[in-house]
Amino acid sequence: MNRQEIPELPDDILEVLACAKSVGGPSSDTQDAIFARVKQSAAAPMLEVASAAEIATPKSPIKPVILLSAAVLVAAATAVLSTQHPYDNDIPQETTKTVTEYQAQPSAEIPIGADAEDFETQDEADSRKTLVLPVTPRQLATGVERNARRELATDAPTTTLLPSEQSLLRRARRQFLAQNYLTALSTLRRHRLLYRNGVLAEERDALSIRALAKRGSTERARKLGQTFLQRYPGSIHIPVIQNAIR
Amino acid sequence: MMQVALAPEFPVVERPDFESVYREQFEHIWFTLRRLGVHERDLDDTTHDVFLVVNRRLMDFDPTRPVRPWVTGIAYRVASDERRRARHRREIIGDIPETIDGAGPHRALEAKEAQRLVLDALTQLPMDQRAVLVMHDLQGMTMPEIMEALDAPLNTLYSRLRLGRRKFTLAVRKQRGREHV
Repeated sequence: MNRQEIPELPDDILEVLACAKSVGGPSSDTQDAIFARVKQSAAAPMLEVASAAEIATPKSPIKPVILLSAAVLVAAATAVLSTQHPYDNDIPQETTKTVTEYQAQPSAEIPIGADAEDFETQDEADSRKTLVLPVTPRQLATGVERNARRELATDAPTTTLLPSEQSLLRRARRQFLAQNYLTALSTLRRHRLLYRNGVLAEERDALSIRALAKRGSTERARKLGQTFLQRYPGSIHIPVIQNAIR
Repeated sequence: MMQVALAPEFPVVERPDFESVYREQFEHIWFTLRRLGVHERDLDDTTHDVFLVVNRRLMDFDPTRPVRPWVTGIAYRVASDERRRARHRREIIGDIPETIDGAGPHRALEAKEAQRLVLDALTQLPMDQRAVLVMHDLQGMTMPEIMEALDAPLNTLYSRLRLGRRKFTLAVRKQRGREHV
């Protein structure tokens, strides 16, 4: 197949194409607004698009660095699994027995919180916490046990169950782009509950208005849009919001 | 006596900055995305996504190569991604910008109608054929540029163009016949 073998488009189709091409493009305001959004998103990586679209070059083989990292991780995991935990020898037999009893008992009888402190010394309480952690989520799924798990999560300074502000907004934006507006609104509501005055509050509010408008809640979107304009008079989202609530 | 060949002096090509790329390619990308099937209401977001990728990958771009095929390739991938996400929904032609270059209301209406007809016919083409047709016949790109943008063999592209043109012609005529009945 070469260039000469391809028939040109017929004249009537060419006329249609020429006519269609005379439709004007976007306004310079739109162009400026998108440019500002791109610059802002580039500065805040949480709004970046993580998709296959990003791959603008042919697929390359797996990088050696990734392979090396994977090998190191596997070796480390093997070493950890084959080594006995140092705390295993320190656990008093009585405490181990207590855990067994806990699992056999009805959940309401497990002493937690203030009640537990009445029966145990501080060391025993620490051991109990250390031992309760490996219990599977299914075993901790209901009632008092769930409360105990929450308590442990609160006590452990390195454990956090809260998604970050950026990740929540990134998730909401993905849901918005996938046209799951209701889900996006739910995620944004969660963001508002957790980070009411967060640094990304402006982005959250803008996305909320757009999601409401897309979903058909025009009146509510318009009302929130007015509030947004008053609250953020210099926002770069204003043209997009005005377009959404128009 | 051995002669030492001096290294030829290559002209130093400066890497384009993001803003100049954006200003030069914005309208091209906007129309390409629209013609590749991105809905009117999603154009802002999708264009934003394309230039976000451009901004991030600008340092990897070979400045000796033309910018347009590279940016168009990114736009094609973003549009394909967008279509995959929106596969469950039926594509509906949205509002078309009212601005017509220096034309009266009758001409504007005609252009709007032609635009709707073209977009409607394009939706009936597979994405690969649609992409080649849009880039070649609507965006005025050359085949080598399209080859660079889509990273596909030249013969494959010609084949897609031939099939795409045939289907597009049939779709436009069918649509017009339906309207004239």
